[in-house]
Amino acid sequence: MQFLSRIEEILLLAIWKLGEDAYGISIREQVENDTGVKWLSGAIYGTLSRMRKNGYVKTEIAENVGDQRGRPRIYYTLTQVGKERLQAIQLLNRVMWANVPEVK
Amino acid sequence: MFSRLAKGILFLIADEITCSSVIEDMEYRFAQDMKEKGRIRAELSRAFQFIVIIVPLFVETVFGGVSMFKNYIKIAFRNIKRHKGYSFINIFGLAIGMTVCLLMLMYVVNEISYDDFHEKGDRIYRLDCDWGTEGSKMRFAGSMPAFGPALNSEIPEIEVAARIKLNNEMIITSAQNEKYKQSQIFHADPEVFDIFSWPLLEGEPSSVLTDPFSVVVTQKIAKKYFHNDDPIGKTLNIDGNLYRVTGLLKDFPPNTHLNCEILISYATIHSLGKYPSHPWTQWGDDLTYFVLREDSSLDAVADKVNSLLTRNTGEWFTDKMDLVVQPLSKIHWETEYRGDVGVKGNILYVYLFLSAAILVLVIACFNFMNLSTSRYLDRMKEIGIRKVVGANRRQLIRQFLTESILVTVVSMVFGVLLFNLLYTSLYSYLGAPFSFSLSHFQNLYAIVVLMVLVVGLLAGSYPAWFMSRFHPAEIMNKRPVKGTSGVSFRNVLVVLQFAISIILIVGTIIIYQQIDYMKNTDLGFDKEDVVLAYFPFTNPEAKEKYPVIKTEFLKHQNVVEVTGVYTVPGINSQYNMTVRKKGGGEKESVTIQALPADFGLVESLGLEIVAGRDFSEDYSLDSKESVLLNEAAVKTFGFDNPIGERLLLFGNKEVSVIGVVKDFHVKSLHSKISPMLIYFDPKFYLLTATKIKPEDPEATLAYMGDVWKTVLGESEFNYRYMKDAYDSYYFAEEKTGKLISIFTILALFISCLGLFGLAAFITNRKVKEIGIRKVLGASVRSIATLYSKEFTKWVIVSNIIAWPIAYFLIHKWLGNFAYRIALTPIPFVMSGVSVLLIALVSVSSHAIRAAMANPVESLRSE
Repeated sequence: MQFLSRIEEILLLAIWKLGEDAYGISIREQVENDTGVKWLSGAIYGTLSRMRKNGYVKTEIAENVGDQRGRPRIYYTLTQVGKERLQAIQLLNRVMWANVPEVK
Repeated sequence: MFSRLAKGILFLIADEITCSSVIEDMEYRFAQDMKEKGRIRAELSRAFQFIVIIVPLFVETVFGGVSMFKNYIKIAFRNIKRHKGYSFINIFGLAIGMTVCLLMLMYVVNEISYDDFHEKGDRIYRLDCDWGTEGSKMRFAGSMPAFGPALNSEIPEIEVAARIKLNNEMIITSAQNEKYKQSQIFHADPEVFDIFSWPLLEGEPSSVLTDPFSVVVTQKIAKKYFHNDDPIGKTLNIDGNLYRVTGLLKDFPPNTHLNCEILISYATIHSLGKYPSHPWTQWGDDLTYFVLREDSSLDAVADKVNSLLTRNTGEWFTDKMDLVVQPLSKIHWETEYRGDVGVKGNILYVYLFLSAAILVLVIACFNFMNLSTSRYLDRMKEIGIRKVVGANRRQLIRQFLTESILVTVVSMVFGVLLFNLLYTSLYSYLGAPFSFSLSHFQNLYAIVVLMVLVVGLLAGSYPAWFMSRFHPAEIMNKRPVKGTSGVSFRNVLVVLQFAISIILIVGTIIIYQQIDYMKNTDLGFDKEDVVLAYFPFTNPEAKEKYPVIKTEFLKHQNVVEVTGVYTVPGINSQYNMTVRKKGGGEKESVTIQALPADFGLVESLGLEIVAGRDFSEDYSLDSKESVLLNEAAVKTFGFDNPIGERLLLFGNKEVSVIGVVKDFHVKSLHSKISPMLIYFDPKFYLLTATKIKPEDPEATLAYMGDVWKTVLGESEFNYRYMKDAYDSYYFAEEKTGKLISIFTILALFISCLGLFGLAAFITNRKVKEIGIRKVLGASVRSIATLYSKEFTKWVIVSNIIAWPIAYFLIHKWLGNFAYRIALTPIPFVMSGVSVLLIALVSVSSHAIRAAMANPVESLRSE
């Protein structure tokens, strides 16, 4: 099985944390809050688009909640595959960091 | 609004779902930036966002991730480095092509975006009118002041209407008691803010212009008169009256016909007692704009407006006046309106520039394709290996496209840099009266990104598909692969490239010839050393003092002759009258151009009398009933011997013809000389024309200025040379001529660059053949001729393609001129031969070098 890349991991975590409220802007802001770094939009949306293709996330179109111009807003949620991958990477991290002397 | 083009690009490279998210995010950030940093920085940061979003998305969609992409980029850079010469030619040629293209597109974008920023723009119209009887109709941009309020209250189809009125220059006295001349001052109804989307930074749109003596100023004006203080509530002294500043407008973008700097409330006109007492019949030069309701039709409005006119004015009026409704989008292009405001554009030149921009880019693209294809032939082995190791065709195509897009991006960077360096100086050199607003730069850069994608894909596509087609066994085999010579396709490109260059050269030569012809043709008058000065419109007594001015002027030794006149060549006004032969019926009357003038006209303008005599003060009847005709008028009336013939002016005034002047061009050579009648009538003088001696014009002008100021009590003597006035008719042509010639040279340069590279490539491939020929006894000359011959053939084919197209286009352009040069084959042959010579020079240098080389060098390896 292929492991998630770091960007994918961070994004999936952000979506998971946001739960019902994960859409473009909120995801970006969540990620920026979590990492404390300004992200290039291209990195975020490019990765989101790839993860959608790989079936880690699915999207839902919500009419009438976006901005005043009436564009629909796209909500992102994790798929079963996405969740499994996230669990795998969590396990991996845990295993990797177990019994490691403190890194100084 | 997120620029539509940028959005289009986005949708091109990413899926719909992702696009929606991205757009929402960008709009959100933009709105935030607007609040925090202001518009300009918000726009800039959005442009940056756009670029950084496009690239990763592109990589993601096309390459399915970063790692493969990195590999492609690495290979591409290696290839650029390995073939420095080719890469240089490629990048340099493409960069110049892009710069040229951008420079021309900038003009086009600026022109077609005139007045496009009003939200209700497609529903805004202006009420204009035709005035006059059949034959002497004139179009006016303005109408009577009563229309504004009447449209608002009486026509339900009109959402809102407002009047705007341009004032002459006014004097503004600052707080420090300094006096400034200020133009672009408009009176305006408060409703203007409901019509036009003028961004009011301070003040309430509905109330800023309601009270008399209130003004709204732009930031520029506020800075000029109040420096950094808040202008609201301050007073402004305009022409001695005190106005209160009630609103602050954002500076207007340069591409609007209503370029206001100060708006004075329309109510002020009432308060000053300047509102006409009969607003339905007295002309006010009021420009009346209105917004049509969304569900209403324009026809209904037109009918109602005309019935308004009938109800409120008499028959005398309605006979002469027709109301015309003009959409906002046409105001920039329609030139025949008198009293109009703003700079006019010419759609012909927009098309010309747009097509030239595309052509130059096409040339550069062809070049690029040509060189890439020939270079890829060298990489057959690489492709073979890649295929053997397992690359599929799609991957190879991607690799080649990456390379070509990379080269395009690099050239774009140079191209945009060059463009930024050049555009200000180029446009100021050409004297184009515009600056550029930021939103257009954004559009322009969106075009650039699109251009890169299109050029890169287009230029890379042929080599990519062509090269990835072969079976590896075919390639790895030593024998040359069928169809790899690629000659036929490349020949087509070279031929097209040169055909375009030839068309451009022919165009340049003929435009120059026509300009030259227009400047040097015998105009029938002498435009040198004639000083024109208008009687000030605001001073009604000025005309009556004309005789005094004339006597005073003539006292100076260097003044040859003075005349008062209605119009002179170089000035766009025309006065028509109906004339018929005495004894002829009403039906035989014709409308001809009339020129009211004083006795000195013929000598002042250097006209030539071909029959009869000039006006003379010796004949007392000359000032009452004598006229001069021009030759065209003689022909119109069909006189065999015009002298002494009697004519009826306006159907009742009887005059006799005393002389005939040779035809002279009152208008530019665009239009035919119309029949003209010159008669004596001081009521109609609009200006004086003074012929002076060429010696020491400064002293003469100073003397004339003194006379003018003392006699008329004016503060200034505004004069203009007739030569300048007349030559300005050809301003557009000259400007275009200059631009096209610069672009032609560049296009030719790009083509040659391509040919040079191609020739280098071909001779390189044939180096062994040349060696063998030499060993067998061929001379340098015969070898050089052999290889040059091939290129000669192509250039000749290009000529054959280019000539008819060039002929067609040039013929169309010359159709603009009533007087024009005859089309001879010389420019065509000239451009053909010069292109041939240039091509030969760039090709033969390679051929000669190859032929001079010692055959041992090329042959010893086998």
